[in-house]
Amino acid sequence: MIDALVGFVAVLRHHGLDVGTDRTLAAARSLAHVDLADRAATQRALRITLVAHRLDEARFDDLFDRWFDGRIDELHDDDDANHVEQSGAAVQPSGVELTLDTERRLHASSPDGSYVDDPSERIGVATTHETEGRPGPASPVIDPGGDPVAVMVDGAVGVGAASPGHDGLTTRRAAGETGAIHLGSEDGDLSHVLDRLAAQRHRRLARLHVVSPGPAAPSSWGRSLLANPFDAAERRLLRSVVDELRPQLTGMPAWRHRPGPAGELDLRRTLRRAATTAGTPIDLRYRSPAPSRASVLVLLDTSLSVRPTARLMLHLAHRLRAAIGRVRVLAFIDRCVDVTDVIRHADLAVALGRLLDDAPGGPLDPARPSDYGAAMRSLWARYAGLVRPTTTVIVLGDGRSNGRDPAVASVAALTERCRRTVWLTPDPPGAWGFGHGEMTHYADTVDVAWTVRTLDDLSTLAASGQIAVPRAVQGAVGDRWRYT
Amino acid sequence: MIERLAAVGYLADEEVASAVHLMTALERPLLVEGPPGVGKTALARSLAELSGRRLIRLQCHEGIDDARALYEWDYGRQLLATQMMRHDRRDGADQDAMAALFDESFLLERPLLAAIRSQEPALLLVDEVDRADEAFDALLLEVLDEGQVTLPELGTIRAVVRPWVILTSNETRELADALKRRCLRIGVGYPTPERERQILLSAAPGLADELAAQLTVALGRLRVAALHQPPGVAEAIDWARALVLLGAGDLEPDTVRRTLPALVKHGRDETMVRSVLDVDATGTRATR
Repeated sequence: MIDALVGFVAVLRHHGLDVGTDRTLAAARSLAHVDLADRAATQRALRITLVAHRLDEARFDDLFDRWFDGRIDELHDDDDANHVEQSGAAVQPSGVELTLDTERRLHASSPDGSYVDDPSERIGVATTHETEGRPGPASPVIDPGGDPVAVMVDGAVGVGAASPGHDGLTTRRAAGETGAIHLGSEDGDLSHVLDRLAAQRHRRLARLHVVSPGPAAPSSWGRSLLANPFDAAERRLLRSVVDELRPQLTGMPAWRHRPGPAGELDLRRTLRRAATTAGTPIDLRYRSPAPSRASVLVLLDTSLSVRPTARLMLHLAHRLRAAIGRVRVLAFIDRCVDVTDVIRHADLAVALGRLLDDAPGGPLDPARPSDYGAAMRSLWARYAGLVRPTTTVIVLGDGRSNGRDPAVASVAALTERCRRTVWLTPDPPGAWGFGHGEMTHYADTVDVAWTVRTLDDLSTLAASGQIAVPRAVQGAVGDRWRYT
Repeated sequence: MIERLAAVGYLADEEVASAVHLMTALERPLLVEGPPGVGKTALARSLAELSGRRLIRLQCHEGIDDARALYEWDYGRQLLATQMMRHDRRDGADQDAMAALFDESFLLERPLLAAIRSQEPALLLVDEVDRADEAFDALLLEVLDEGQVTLPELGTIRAVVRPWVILTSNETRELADALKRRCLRIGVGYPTPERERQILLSAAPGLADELAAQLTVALGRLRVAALHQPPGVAEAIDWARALVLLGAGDLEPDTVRRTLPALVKHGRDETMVRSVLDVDATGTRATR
């Protein structure tokens, strides 16, 4: 069962769900409290323990159905049950025990989603029974060779199949009743079982990769993006760059309490301080207003003209959404559309598929020519409330308005009203005025205009700290405009 | 579990019942996410009533910190104590005074610490955790993970009886991964029409069955409309109770208009609600 669960977790990770070892352990433990013969109850238990985001629930259900091929019996590992019966092991009450060895196996799923199967690892797999001679729901009992210091994950474990509709709040726990059937770590037959399980799992993985429909069929533009996802190294670099950008975008935390003449007297902290001076309030403490929570607004150009850097920009928007709590993402070609919930999905392929699913004929149809002026006007008309003095606005686009009114004044108003405006464009400054490009005008109105074509460009921007430079000293410290 | 929750007035579906069952069985915190008014807080209240546990509620808000959530020293009493101790000139009096100043008797419990130190089984409700700052997520980690808190002056305090913990979130911000990782999670949405009808009949005694059915249909239409604040179950119950108070037997336009204050919680929504429910400003049914 653990193999099936770990394999399933690997599939979830492969499809972008963020499932850590803690969740996997919780899922394993939860299976002791549901009737495994009840497919719906098992699915609910796994969903509650494994899924962290609402948008992942549908994906989880889909993968659950496909992984278990419509049969929850996969979790029973009947073969293993037979094996134990043949081995003549004692019949024990139903129960699940997870030991440190189980944890090692659950940890064996590498963070990038690939399952690492270690044939040298020998575990015991056993089943327990409700009554003698009648197989009950099989459970793994894993013991590292009878190591007396092995620690139960759960300590005492649940006994019996307990479904919420029947068992209620009372969890019957009795460690002594659980049946730990120890198979020797040198058991040769066991390696055969494990090898077969591993092969079975790999076949399932391969099948999923082949038959996985993935996101709804996007345009060819979308397909080219999907065919070229970020690899693990790029994901790591992007994560570190965004982590570096994060304080610049959201602002450094201000002193909440400071000794000084400005601000309101903080009586509580002054008295607390006075406790160290025999009750005499020598050191007065003042309270400055708590800083408002900063927010980030991303304006994402999805037109064809930004195709060379669309892959980077989409990943950047996706990562910003994941890394910063208050982020809104508006995609636009000639009209802003709120795609925050779409881009929030852990699986970028799914997010992109949804983003482009309705694209043909819609406001995000890449066939439409970009119109920055109209997009800015729609921003003010529909989303003006998102632009506040604490907001950092990031525009990801090339500033090509195709001969239409670029509405530079709208961008200037944006800069005036928000905390920072940062414009990341794929074009170098020398090309800003060509091909109906309006970047020269836009660059004059924003705080930072930066050429970003690669992750390294983005990394350079993050390292420069330019976004955090106060407006009062902009120009004196570094360059506002930069290209590499 | 479904029956037992129903006995205390909470009509849960299987998803919620499973989550509660696993929360109690695994002793893991439960994060309940969903729009306002769908019964997240009511679930905690009902579970506390059902289990006989003491409900300790921490209402989160922007700027909440450890002094409001965890503990605080009673500075006034500490000052008084220092004044009383200053005349004590015995050897070692200074050390005794310092130890006495940071004694538990000067400690003011806030909800998190109260839940940890509670001698009786407790249910800690961390309500609307998404309203708190992100730094607050980190404050919860030790409580959720280990069932303990660490106070610099007193050291680590472990739970006498590990409390059950329910966190609710309206999903106005993404919670920290570290926080989510420590919790079971369930998303609660609007109930199905049949379940909502049962909820209304249960929560509004005297409500006619036919009127309850009409209400659920109307609520369904309102929830798919582009309202700023769609009516949740709480608003639905208020609406139903208001109708019962007015002795309504049918969703007549005039009745609807008079009970709109129980349903509409945002000024911009009133026009839309009137339109969706076919009620114009004068209380006559509009033609479609």
